[in-house]
Amino acid sequence: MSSAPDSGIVIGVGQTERQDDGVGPYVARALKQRGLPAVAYEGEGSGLLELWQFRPACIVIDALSGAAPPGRLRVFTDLDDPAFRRAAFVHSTHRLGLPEAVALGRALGRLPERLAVIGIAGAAFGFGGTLSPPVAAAAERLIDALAGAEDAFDEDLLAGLGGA
Amino acid sequence: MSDSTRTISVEALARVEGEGRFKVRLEGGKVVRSEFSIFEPPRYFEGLLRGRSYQDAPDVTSRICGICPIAYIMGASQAMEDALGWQVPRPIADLRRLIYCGEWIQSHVLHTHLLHAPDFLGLQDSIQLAQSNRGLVENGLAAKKTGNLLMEVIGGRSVHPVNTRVGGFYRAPSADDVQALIPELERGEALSVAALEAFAGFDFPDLEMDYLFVALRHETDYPIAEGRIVSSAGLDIGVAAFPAHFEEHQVPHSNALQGATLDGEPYLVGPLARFNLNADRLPADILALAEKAGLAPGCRNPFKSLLARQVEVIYAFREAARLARAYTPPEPGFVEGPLRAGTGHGITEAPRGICYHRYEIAEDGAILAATIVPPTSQNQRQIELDLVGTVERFHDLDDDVLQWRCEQAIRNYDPCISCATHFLKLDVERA
Repeated sequence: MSSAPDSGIVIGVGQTERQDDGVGPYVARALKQRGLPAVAYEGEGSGLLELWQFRPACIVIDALSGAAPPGRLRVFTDLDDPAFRRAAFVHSTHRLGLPEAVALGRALGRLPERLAVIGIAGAAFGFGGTLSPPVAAAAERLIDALAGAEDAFDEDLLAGLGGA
Repeated sequence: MSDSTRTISVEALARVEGEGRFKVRLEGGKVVRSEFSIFEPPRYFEGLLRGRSYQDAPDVTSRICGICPIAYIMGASQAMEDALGWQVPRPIADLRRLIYCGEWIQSHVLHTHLLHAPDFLGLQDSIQLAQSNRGLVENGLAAKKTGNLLMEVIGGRSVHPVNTRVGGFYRAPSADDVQALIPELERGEALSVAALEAFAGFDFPDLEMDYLFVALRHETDYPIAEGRIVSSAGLDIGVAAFPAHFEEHQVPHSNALQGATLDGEPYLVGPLARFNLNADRLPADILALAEKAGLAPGCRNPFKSLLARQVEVIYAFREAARLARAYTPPEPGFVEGPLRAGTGHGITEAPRGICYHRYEIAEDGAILAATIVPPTSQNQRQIELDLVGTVERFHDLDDDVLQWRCEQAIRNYDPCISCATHFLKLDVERA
């Protein structure tokens, strides 16, 4: 971990060898290079509890599969929103995925004070480590927006990203 | 409940890895047709390896599974070392056993605590379990964290480790880093004993199956990464003889090959098989804990695989602490030698059972042919039979309760469907 537990953290979730599923780790690594506390995570859902507990704020970035146009961002700051659980997050191993990790964290009192999830709609989830063009472009816009912000964890900033 | 004509259907099984379906037709309390289908698409790893360097096999095959990458890394490495004639010194083999303990811990604990335990308490999932029994979930998360940490310290990271290679490790971790884990490993053992005591209070469905158990067996130790192949029918063969006794075959209703003996007999691999064939290799106090919890050698109740898995967690913590105390970094961390053409075989005990690798390589080390037989493929036919046994034994239950029991029976296997596609929707027809 590159940051003190009293800071917020960005967690990029995904499988870097499955094309657009790797967008979360891609963004996390880029943010880390630009000085933000960020970590790429490829493990199953319960491990997220360790990464975000005791943090005042956390942004989880993950790929979305489904009908949204590739590269479209969806930002969830209200994780009670049924749309969050309905969202098709690709990352799920042994069926403990991101929504389950959030619910488990809540039951155990292990959620950060502020937790936002940014989903990036993917186009391709086959073999390979390259992002599709619309997803790569969305990733760069997201990196610039978070790295250039005074407070990357600001709720208004995050809510505004959903229209990107 | 009447059994004149019944159809039960589960469209998607939860708390397993991958996707599949089980379909059964019941007539008068007897199952007349059962199909366990894995419809997760094939992933062609064996074809993907052809033409690549022998060095790529461990890293490529580790991507078959995010939960048990060490099993693939170790099986592939051993097979390549067998083909090349490289002998791995004991200190490197011990370091492999140590990181393998980490994988057993994190994989088993994820299953016992978060995925399987809710079944025995009538709960939907680990979230409900956390609300009703927070301590048990916290126990599991703490134990799992230590397993992950063990893999991270030795393997460079806990998922898809990067420090492993054919011949050993790119760089052996320092003694300080490994021995710093000992207090957490000791705490993990204590946590796991407490969890076993909690699991012992579960109400285990009363079902006995007639299994052919198959597992590794080692001269002195509980088997993890070394040993001969043995069975409850008296088989005792070397690893290279696996294809002479076991085969995989295609069935129309599944994308995954099904394993069987050459005589067509289904068999069981995994924690219950390992325990039954190797209980005498466990430390006496751990065996006593197992027996006190209701798991004695000879157990054929598939639902008690939960206990077998948890006993193995206790053992893995104990063994890891022992290996960590004795650890001195091997220098170098790997062995290597000249390349040669050849064929090699490797088998280790993945958390879900034996995992077989066979490779043919050319003189320059290029892979000519690859065969990988994961544990869930080997267990697939036996899972079908367990479901038949479960449906017939509990056919008087209402459909929704029977469906629950069937799903529980499948989770006894902690099946890794993606590894096997090589898993679940359930349809039960009662006619």
